[in-house]
Amino acid sequence: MMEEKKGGTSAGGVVLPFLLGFVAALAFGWWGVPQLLFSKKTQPLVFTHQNHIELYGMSCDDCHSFRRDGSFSGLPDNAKCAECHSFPMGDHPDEIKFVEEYYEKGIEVPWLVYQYQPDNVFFSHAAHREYDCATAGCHPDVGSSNELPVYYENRLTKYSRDTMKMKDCERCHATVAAQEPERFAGAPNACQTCHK
Amino acid sequence: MALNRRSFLTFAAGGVAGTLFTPVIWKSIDDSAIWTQNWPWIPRLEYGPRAYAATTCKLCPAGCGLNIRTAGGRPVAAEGRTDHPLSQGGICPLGAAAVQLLYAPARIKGPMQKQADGSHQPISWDEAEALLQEKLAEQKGRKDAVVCVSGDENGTINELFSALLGGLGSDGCFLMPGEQLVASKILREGSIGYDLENADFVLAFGADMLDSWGTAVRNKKAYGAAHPVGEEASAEYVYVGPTQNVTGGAADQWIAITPGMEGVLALGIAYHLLQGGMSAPQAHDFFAYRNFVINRYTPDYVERLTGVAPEQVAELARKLRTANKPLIIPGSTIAQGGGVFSFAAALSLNMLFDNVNSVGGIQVLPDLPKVVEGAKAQAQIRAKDLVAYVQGVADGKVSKPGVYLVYEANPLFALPQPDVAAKAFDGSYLVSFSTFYDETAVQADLLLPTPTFIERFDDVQTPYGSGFASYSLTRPVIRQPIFDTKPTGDVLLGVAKALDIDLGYDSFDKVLEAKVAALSELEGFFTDKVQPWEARAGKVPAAASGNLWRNISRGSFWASIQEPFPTAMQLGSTIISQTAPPDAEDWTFPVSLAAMDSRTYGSRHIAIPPFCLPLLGEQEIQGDVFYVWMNSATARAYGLQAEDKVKLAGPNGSCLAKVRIFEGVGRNMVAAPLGFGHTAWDKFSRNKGDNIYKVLTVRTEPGSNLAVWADSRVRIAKA
Repeated sequence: MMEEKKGGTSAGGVVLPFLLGFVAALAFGWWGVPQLLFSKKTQPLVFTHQNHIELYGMSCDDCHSFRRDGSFSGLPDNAKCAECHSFPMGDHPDEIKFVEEYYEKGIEVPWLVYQYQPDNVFFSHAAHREYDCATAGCHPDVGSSNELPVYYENRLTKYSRDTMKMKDCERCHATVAAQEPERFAGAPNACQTCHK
Repeated sequence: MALNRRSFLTFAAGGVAGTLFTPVIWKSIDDSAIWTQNWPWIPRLEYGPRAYAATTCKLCPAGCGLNIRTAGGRPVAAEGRTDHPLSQGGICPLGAAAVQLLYAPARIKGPMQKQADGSHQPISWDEAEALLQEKLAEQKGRKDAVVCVSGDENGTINELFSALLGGLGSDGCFLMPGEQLVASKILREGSIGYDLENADFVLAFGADMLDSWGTAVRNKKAYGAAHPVGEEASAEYVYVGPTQNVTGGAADQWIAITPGMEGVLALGIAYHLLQGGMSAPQAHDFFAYRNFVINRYTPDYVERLTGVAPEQVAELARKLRTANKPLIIPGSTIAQGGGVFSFAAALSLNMLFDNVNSVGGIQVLPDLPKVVEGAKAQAQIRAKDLVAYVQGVADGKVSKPGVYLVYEANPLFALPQPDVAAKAFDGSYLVSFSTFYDETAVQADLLLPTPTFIERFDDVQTPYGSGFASYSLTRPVIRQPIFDTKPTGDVLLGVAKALDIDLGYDSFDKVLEAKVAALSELEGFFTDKVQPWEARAGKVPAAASGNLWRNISRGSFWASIQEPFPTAMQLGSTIISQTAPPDAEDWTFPVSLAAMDSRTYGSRHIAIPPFCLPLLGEQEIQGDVFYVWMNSATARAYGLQAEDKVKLAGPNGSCLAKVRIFEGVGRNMVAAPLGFGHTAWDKFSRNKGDNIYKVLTVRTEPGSNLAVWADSRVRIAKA
């Protein structure tokens, strides 16, 4: 006891607080900060990709298509949805909400986009057509589930947590493109490839 | 473990060490950087389907075609149209700024009424239209108590103004001054066209055809086609004017001449042609003309007045004679305020060559049919002299009208001697239909903003300077007007209805539809396969058929080369001799003021857009001081050096500027740009230099009684 009173000189007296601080910082850094930094948002309406594909026989590019000039349409607009849902086909409250609150009032549904790149990035979907959206690692695989993932919004930057970082683009351009240099002559990791 | 200072510090050290094994630091640095890129005032790109909409520009009278590029239905850029004969893919700096002007802070956001303290307060459209109706009803039946000043010289809207004023008992529908006014003194009906594309020698007197005169973009295209890179030029261009402006710089030859003396040189050339035995038997006044020219415009006399050496004049005459298709273009450097003398003298050279209504020459173009009952004919509206009228009102010689309606015009800035205009407007009820908060709108009692041409239906009839009659439409390329604006045509029709004046239409769109339907009275064609100048040269186009409205409202260009009526040819000896300038020196105001115009500086009713500010060099504006140009001899004579402050003083106004030494200015002249010195608009366009319109002096040309100001004179002194 007396020896312990001297405290500070014993290993435990130093190591324990150090470890406690270390573990607390780890916990705060890996778990606490993300809790603080990201707010959870849900999509304005329930939408099930799986049902549309499996029950109604639709394919991805019925809604996510390329325009005639080669640009990618991204998310469908109200007019696209209204090709089928200009009036409620079932009794799901969200479908009724779409018709009454959005389509009839002429307000576009404010879908949350998981993968929105900033304006200073030039990205052409047309150039990446041969890759599968989900397995290439760019987009969450939403086509095979009835759930839409939670949308985490960075409170500081206002971007989605799932926004691809530059290193993800570069990694693919460095590895995949390097395998077949003739075919991917246009995909170097030069700045101006993406920042025009 | 005790809670003491040492254990706390150790805990903190552990915390710091632990933090280094988490992404917190790197993540926060990265996120902070991204956060700075997304501050709310940083502009964002618009996403959505991209599309083009073909329309016609209304920012100046040239009537070029524009392709408005949209993203997600929102206009983002204006580009030149390749399928439009007046632009052929080209665009001027002002047209390129069209979309920026749509979003400009200077736009009036809704109807407003002036309060007692001089500020403008928003009111509703119903209140505004009731107010307009009340003010017009007060004047109904009183002679010339309502006056309209329109800055749109090609639009059918003028017919509505004219008919409305007619119903109120007024004849006061005026256009802002331009070349058309002078031309109307020579040609009573129809307008004068210039078949540039087919000419092989173009001699322009004053007309700054490659920058600001007439159909400027088309003129440049014709010039470019005649000057292929690395090959012989197929047409020679000679410019006679005070400064080596864009036209003088590009032309194969530039001849410096004092503004107002262009006609003297033209008659000096005629002297050589007549001495060489040329005649124009088809003109019944040929002998009078011949005697007048030979007796008076001898080489010595011409040299004394113009400073152009006799051998140079003789050389010009020789070039004209050897050309196959010479075309002589009359005009003034600023496309306004020129006299009948210079215009008629230059035009008479065309008569000598008998190139009226011939390929590569001067054309008489028909006016398009009138569709509003009770409106005056276009030719009558064109021939009214606004500046003379305003001077008369200011001097008290003409009774002051009760109401002024100002449409797409800025008379309190862009009339010569704007202080006189202010005097004439003072005390009357001023209604401005302007899209932008310009100098006239600031003074207006009632603001009824019209949408920009990107948000409304409108039309362009044959622009002055074109070589063929034409019609094109302007249409809304945006889903909704972005502010609470209303097309002036609809406002006028509503007010007329309330005042029991029947104009025969419910909406302005219907007026335009009637106009398009009336085109079938003329022989016209669409320019998709045959261009108008090709048709002039003999190619036969297929007559316009099908649904005219559908085609033209989607951008098709309707043209006609029909000769409207047989023109009695005369050389105009009477008018030339009556309006000839005296050869007296002006010692009080010894220096000629050569005003310059350019689409870079905006247009008559549009201030310089922010888009065009970077185009101004450091020798044009620095801070809020602009430059006037003179050659080194003139500067020396007045003890001036480059960058000196200089005061230009005319009989009625003065302005301050800095000196730019530029040898492309004729002797004893000072060149100054028009369109600077705006005081209203927005922070981007105002307080840039000074307004040269203040320094211009209006005089009455003897013989024609036309107000002229292109030949103003000033005193210059170091300030």
